[in-house]
Amino acid sequence: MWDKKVVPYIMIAPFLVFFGIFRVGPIFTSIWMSLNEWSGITAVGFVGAKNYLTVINDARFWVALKNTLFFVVVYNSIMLSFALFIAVIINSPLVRGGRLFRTIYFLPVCMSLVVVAFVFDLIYGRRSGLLNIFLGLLHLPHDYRWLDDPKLAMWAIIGMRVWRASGYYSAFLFAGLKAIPIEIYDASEMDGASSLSTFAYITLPLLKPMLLFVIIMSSIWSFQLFDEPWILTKGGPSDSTLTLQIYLYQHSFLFNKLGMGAAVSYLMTLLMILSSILYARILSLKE
Amino acid sequence: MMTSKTRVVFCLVALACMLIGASAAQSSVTITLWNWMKYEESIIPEFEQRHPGIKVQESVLGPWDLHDKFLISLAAGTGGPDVAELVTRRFSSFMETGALTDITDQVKGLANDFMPSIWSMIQSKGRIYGLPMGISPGVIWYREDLFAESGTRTEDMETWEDYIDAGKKLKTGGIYLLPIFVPPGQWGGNQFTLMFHSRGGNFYTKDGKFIQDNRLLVDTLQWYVDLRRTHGVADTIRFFTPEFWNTLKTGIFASWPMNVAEGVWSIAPNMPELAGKWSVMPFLRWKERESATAGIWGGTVYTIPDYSQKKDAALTFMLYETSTTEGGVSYAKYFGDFPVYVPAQKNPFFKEVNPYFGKCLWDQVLPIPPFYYFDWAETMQILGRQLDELFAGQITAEKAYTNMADEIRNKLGR
Amino acid sequence: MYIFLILLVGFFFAPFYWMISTSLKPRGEIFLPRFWPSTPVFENYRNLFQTTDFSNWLISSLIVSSGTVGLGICLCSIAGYAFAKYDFKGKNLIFWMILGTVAIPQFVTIIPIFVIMVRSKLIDTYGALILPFSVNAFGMFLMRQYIAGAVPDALLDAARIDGCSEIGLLFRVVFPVVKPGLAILAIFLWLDSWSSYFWPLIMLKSQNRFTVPLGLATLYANPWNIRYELLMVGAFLSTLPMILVFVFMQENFVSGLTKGALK
Repeated sequence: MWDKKVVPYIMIAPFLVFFGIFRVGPIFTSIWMSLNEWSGITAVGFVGAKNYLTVINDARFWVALKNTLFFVVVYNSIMLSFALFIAVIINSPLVRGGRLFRTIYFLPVCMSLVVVAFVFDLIYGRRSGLLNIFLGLLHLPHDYRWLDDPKLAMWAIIGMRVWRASGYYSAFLFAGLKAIPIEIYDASEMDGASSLSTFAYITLPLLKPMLLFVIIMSSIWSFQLFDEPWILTKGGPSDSTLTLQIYLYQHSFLFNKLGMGAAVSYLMTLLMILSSILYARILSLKE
Repeated sequence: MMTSKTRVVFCLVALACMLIGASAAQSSVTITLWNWMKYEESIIPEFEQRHPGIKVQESVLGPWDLHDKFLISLAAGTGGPDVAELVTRRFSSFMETGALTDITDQVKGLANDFMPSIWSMIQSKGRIYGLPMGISPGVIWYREDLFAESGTRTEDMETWEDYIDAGKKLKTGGIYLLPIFVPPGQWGGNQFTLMFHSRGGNFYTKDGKFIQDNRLLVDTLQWYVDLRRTHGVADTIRFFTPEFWNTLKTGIFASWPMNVAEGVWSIAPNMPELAGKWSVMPFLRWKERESATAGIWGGTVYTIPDYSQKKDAALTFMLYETSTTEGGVSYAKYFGDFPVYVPAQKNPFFKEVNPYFGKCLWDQVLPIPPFYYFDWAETMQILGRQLDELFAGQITAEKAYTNMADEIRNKLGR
Repeated sequence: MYIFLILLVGFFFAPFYWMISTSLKPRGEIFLPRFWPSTPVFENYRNLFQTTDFSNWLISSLIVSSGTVGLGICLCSIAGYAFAKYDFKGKNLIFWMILGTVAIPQFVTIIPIFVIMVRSKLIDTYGALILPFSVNAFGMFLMRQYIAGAVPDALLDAARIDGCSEIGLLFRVVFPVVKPGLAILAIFLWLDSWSSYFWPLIMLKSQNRFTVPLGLATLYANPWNIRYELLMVGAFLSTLPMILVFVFMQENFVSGLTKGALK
């Protein structure tokens, strides 16, 4: 009776119901918000795309877009390679005590962001910052203003987030690696394949589903980067760490321009969806 | 002599009276207060004793979280408190939402009891939407010993020029005169405004128009950036970070123009070993002005959202806090800020000498010129961007001003 | 290889260590660069519990996170399985639409959701947190990817030939095999709900219902009196449940693997 045709609908139903109530409805409302003119917090009339045009005509929006894209590309490349590297090493049969290492690597993401910001304030300080002190010990130039220099601030944010996220994502990749049956490795070893080619031609393809998940998740989250640059630099200096999400927050909550804020968020959504489709195409998602 | 019937009636009536009386005494209104300063142990018990019919339930949040949450509740028309504590400079934006309660009729008689320059900050188009609780006026915290060692007699300092001269002497000993806060968008802009306000300057007219050809603003921008780029007496630093407190402890900065609450809240507790070395003086005089006046770093305003169902009780609470001597003194005692209610300022509490500094802190507070806040968050963001470029040496003060005027015209229509 | 791993330990662990050592420092020493306090003081720990509502915050967070994980595992894995192993009309469309919504920033949907919550009287309840957290699109995506990779179609077909019903497949064949995936999902949902700040900030009103991140925020609410030492204690203690969940779920990894899929 519960045949193959009906069962999937039943299975996704509970998820969809709650999802519809708490996510979908508000989305439609906020799309409507973006299409209205706002006087403070009151919608005063339908204006179509006017908010979107105001946003696109604002130079700061493009600065935010540029910064965000830079962050997404650079940060993810560094962080994910790092996470994959860590996962592979821990997965190696030569390593014992993997569980302990994995737990320690997971710690950064357990720490509350406030404390992390506090710690990185200490690290990135100019005079008594640990990073500068460390550089000084190595006899390298060390009078950097990591968070005050427009050329350096974004790199400082990238560093902080790489520190925070690598252990977390390496846990996902580790789970993905573990799902690959050992028999496959045995088979390839018997065939005489080197470990590097095993990795490239066997491991990576089998890891694809999890890898795709991690890449998409990290990209979408990093596209919405807010907390780190907001807490450390408030989007400065000179808007060098201004991200799209900060731009959104400023317009909705600080400048009382709710229509513009909503318009920004849907522009962001469009961009994220387009890039996800691009990713999925590139990695040729197959079932 | 009462018949049994009369007795019964008498008893019934007496019983009825007792019940009514009891229920009247027990019926109380509970109002919710959103605060970032915790009143639970101080002002609330005092208030509840005075007004037994009203209970106050307090929710403590960070100031900016409070503003976000409050704004959402205003937009939703529900889900918020009966009284909220807001930052003075952002109050005008909240007034412009139209979602606050107009209390003009209930409080207009109090106008003369409040500092006039602050009283104007709670009004929009002639109507009153809140009551000012306190302000944090600027004073100069300084290291008496460092100034003396470098050869400055602080008693002789009268103008900001003298201040810079003292800074140059300190510089020969490798000490900075004052910190300049980055990121400008958040605190640096506020620091600049503190100085600009003390000079009697304004960004906007009373009606919210950005002042054109504002020579005073250009000149003050130049003065501000000169502290670092020309005279080299100031250094930039991130505010409220551990590194900042370290620099104060280790004597990298010799003075700090800041609000009057800092002494009690941060300097004394963080640097007990420097008691007697830190001192405080009033703001200095700008050379073109006749007398010295101070600006404000910030201030608090209390307001009632229009969706509140308990406006009367809420107003009673607000009046107790903001318009009584007890409220004003409690506020200063627990939070170190200066009450806006003038009669409270005359209380002997404000003559007490602070043991750490050896002076009365409140004596250092000067009169405050009027100042008008409009669209403050966006104004500060625009100013902050220009300050960044100014300090990076990429533009002149004149250009910073015209950039700011252009952006404000385009984005805010002012 | 071990050298690399150990260097990483230092790299990742150092700030954590610093947090612990600061939690034991007396007030005057907080800003001094010392590796360990001159005399460790445990009264910071006592103060945190006595002068703040920390135990309430902990309980709140525990309720919200356990609820999220419990409900979320059911919703996400069942839906993920359906998307991974079945073909049905509208499948791809629905899937990508769900996933598309994670690209919508929460700042913009918060006001409409706030209104919904107030009207349905869910505001200031744990439900306002658990329900939205558990329908996590990424969680569902995670399970779908994991199941697609870890459960071969051959296995399912074999079980069907054996006469297993579709629902039976789910419980008897799939569930044992995807335990490591569920473990990761649990960690993911727990972390997401535990460390969430903005959402609980807006949805909760009563101070004794605040989750830990909100509660800790009240310690630095007054910018003039940031209780750093209490903050460090609170932050350290709040990592412990997270670590416990992580370690506990790791057990499931190992045990799930020894059973294996290819029997």
